[in-house]
Amino acid sequence: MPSAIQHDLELREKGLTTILVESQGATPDALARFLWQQFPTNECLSCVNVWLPLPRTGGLPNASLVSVDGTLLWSGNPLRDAAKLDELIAEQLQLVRKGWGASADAKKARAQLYGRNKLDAAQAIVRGMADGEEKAALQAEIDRRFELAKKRIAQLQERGHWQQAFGLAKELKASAGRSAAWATDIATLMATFESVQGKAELAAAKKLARIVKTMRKGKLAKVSKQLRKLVAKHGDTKVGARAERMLSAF
Amino acid sequence: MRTIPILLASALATFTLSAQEPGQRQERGQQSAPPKPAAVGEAVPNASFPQFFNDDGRQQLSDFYGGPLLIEKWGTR
Repeated sequence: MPSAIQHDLELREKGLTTILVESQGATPDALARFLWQQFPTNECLSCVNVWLPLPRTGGLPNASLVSVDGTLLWSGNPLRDAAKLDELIAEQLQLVRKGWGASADAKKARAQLYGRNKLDAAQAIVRGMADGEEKAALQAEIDRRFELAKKRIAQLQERGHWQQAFGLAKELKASAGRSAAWATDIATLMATFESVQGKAELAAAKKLARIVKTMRKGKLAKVSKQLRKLVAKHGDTKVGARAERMLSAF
Repeated sequence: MRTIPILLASALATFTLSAQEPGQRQERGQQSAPPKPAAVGEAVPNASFPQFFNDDGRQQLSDFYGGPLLIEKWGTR
């Protein structure tokens, strides 16, 4: 577990995503409490046990590495095979940076799309490609990437992560550049943060972020009181609802 | 056993879009079989995660396409 958290801290910005799946029957509240108490700096996506279409082997820890294009690359004990795992991750991060695909244009487009998060640059490359399967596949990836960004922002807003949602919305706006195709959707998204409700959410989110910053330093003694205060003042917001859920772990 | 079609041609075919989670009921009340776990070298079928601690808005395996994904199973006990 600590090695996975370390991987995440070092390599998340370069493109690695780490998901921790608690596999001994913890409830979501018990997991949250355990993580805050034992690993407050952990920022990995973490969840309780779930069935996944990955190899099942006896013993914990057990990990699987999925490639940039969704292929299973490796499965095993991440402590025993640490060197091999590091090597495979480094290769994958190289692909994120340089892109992959049958043609040079495909590599360039994916490098822009996934490595630099530049939707408009990727779109310009794909627009200039000859019609065919590869172009169609890349266009589908660009479209999907845009829709996924919108879905993530909406999901984060719904779950009370308004600062994170705002950050992603601004990134999406920058990524889309001056593209007319996406302008309307992006304007609609940005308007959700400028509305009366949006501003109330962001104000509550700022307060919750201060509480979370304290929690990440391992200072949990006053957390319940601080969260209750936030819920009392901002209970009508999604952020307030998130604070209430966090309370249930304490 | 219901055969789960795997999309070819598209780069996204590596995540099987019609994969269903274990126990998910079909329209006629029949439980679908879970997709076969991937072996090394194979495309990983799509699946959904429960709500994440440290949520980032992504919820399915296919949402992570485009970057390496390390999934680690561990225990609190």
